[in-house]
Amino acid sequence: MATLLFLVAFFRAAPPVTRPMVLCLWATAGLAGVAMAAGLAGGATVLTPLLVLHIFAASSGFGLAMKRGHYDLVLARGVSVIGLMTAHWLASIIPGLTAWLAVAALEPVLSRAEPAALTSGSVFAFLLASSFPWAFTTPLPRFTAAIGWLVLLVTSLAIIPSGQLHLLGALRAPQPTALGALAVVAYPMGLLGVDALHLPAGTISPGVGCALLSMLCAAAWNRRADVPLETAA
Amino acid sequence: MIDVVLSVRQLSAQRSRQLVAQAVSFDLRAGQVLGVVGANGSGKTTLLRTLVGFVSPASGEVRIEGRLPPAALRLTPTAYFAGEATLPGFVRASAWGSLGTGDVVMTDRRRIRALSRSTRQLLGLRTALGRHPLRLIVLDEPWEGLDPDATRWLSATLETKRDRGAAVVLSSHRLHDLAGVCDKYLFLTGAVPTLVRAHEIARSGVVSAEQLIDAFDRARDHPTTAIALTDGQPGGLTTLDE
Repeated sequence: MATLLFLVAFFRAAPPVTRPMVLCLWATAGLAGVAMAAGLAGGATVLTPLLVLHIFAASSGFGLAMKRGHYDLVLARGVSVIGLMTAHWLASIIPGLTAWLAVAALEPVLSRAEPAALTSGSVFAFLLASSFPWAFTTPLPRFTAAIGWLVLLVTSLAIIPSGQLHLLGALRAPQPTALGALAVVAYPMGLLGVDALHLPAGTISPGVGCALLSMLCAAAWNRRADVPLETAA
Repeated sequence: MIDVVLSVRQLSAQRSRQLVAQAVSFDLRAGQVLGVVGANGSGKTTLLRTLVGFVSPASGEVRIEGRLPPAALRLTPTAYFAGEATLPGFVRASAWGSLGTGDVVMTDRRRIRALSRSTRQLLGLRTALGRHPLRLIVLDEPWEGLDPDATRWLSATLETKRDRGAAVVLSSHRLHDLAGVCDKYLFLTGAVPTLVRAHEIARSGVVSAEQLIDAFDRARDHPTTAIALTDGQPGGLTTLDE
């Protein structure tokens, strides 16, 4: 219990998500509320910017901070690397999660569209956006996974004619396809507001499986990696 | 033995698969201080991180009160600090300072990166040493960047903690820092470090800076031979490891 309280205190003092990013998430949630109240947008439309920001927030770069000695104080208390990693992951996704839940709470009150934040598709999209970026950024600097994902997505959409329609079509097709499975990972916005439980299992499961696998790989990498000191220049 | 806090047996420490220290063996009891001395890049930081379990040893074993680190750190209150460069610069000083015991050790609300080097070092030390009681203290270059007042505070704090039963490991590349402070010295002068007891350097056990420099030079120049006494007494050769 004391260790848990210390971890909470530690990540309150040294949050993995920067304050400007937290402010951006809350501003986006606020703007979503305004847009819903004014009838300008609702459903998946207001959740898309929040999901993109959350991908950036979750790309918080655990390993580099650890190698710079930022978590020595925690490790010296006997907290395992896996315990520290889990706490870091939670601290990385909590700002996005609270902003998401705020929109979910506002939707029934303000939006004229069907509530979308808590549909199974939106929950899947949020989980994917919480796991992949964090896991991939574990050995890399902050935002690397989000920037890489953004570059890939923008490039793909730019070079494939009607790329977004192709991805959405494959994602929501009644029969599972390889492109549909890829779209779950590459274009999670396509899941927002969708009832994912009615999508073919072959479309959703590879993405969810890959997300779990990426987290397990990150855990294994962190567990076996030593923590030599690599102080910032 | 119950009062042995840190027990090291045939330890080889490695950095990026390169051995930095081999076959290190010693016991450190409650109330004892070990000084790790070596040039920049000699492996002091890697060795100290191996002692607390942050880095796996290439071979050998470290035990903290009989248990293997890092799990041992859960049961043995330990302070570890590797210098102000390890503090996250974006965190507010007052928030970081309160992580030691929950008490405020610094009221400054500026971000750590905005503080002077001396203040950052002091903040890190006060936060790490703030816990009570401490059984093991491992500090990497703790005097680096400290101003005279902070240096006096550190010396007094270490003395108090040691008297209350903490085993202390200190490293420095400046021999003056460690002179007269330690019961044992580990010289990282070659592949196999040299371990010397203070009374082997000076019969009184209180080692002056000159005596320590002389002993370090001897260890560096003749890494496989013993250290002779240098305090004017007939110099008997002594064993180097325990």
